[in-house]
Amino acid sequence: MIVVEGLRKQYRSGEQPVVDHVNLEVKQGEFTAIMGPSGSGKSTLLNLMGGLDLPDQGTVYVDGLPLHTLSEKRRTLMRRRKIGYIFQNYQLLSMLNVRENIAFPMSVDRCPKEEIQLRVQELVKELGLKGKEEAVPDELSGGQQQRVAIARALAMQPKVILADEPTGNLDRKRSQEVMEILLHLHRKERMTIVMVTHDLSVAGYAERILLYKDGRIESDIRQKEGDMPRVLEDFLAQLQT
Amino acid sequence: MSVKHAILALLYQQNRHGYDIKTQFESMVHGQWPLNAGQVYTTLDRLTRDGLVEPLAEGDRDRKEYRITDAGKEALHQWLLTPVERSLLKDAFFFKLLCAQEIDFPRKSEILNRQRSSLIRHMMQLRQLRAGLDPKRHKAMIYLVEGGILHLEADMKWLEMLLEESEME
Repeated sequence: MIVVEGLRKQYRSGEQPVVDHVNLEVKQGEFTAIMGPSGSGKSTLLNLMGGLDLPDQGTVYVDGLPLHTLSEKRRTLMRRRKIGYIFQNYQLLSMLNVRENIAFPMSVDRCPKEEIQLRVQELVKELGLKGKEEAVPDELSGGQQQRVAIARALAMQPKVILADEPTGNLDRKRSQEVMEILLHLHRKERMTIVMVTHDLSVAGYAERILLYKDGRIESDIRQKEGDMPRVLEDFLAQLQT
Repeated sequence: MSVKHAILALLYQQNRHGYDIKTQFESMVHGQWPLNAGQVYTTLDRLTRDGLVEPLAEGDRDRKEYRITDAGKEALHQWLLTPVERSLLKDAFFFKLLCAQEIDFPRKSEILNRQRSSLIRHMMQLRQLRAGLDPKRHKAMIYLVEGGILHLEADMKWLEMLLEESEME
């Protein structure tokens, strides 16, 4: 679904590149977390993967198309139609209400009004936002705002969701709610998700975790099936003594 | 923690026979540890000897039921109220690190990196396990798993600290 080849990005010459010849393949339906300390360059990598930033070298293919060699117009269209973005600070439009925020990408894409209406209704229901349709972002809690942002990201029925610290501003309980929505999208709809986080307990929702440091992928860890978690082993071992 | 106390807790709720104790115990630990029937009966014999439970007359299908005694209830209360000691030195990984330090093992950062990968896998497994639990039916298991997640987070922070220091060496 996403192929990254020899990607490099350096903000200032003489400094360490924030993305340093990264190669990566994310398969259709895979839920991947990129985990690393702040300042490691993981958000830049995600932005490059989503065409929000341009690399100095290398290419990103999304669904077979080379994102950075497309014309600006085609790249914008592709971003809008194939990729849904979720950010830490939600990035909702403050003057628009929930319904209008969710509808925004579809309105920009000039989708028929009836289609927009139906899709928004569907998403409001799916994301548990019923009764909040007319509220503006300031009237919502952080968790609700992030759910609106997720609904907006899903409006165009994208192939990929790119999420940058989606729970970064939320407490533990709200984080869990947001992550369960992403997990549901991954499991039930086989949505491809790439998420950046510094938080292990959030990254743990993914089936693959890339440890990112100093512009490079240090380790690529995949979930092994069938092993009993250590905490249970410990618990049961104690029980037997 | 022991099978002894789990059996006392199960008998505290109601009188039970051995097989009932076995199945209730397995349900309590979410089927993660099948309890040996022999272990149940040996423990019941020991608890009877110590006066903490007592057998009742044989019931249906010749199954012997057991009842918790007042002394058994008191022993269970005391056990529940006794805090659990923790010892870092009993942590297998910490002990490994101590040994590595002792022999000045040159691949110490590899030990840390491998442990980190293993910890991350455990976190993924716990998250998977947690996602399959029903908040209404599996409350106790959810507490256990959430506790495990918090412990893993703390272990990860500790490992990151050790990794940073080993990089500076």
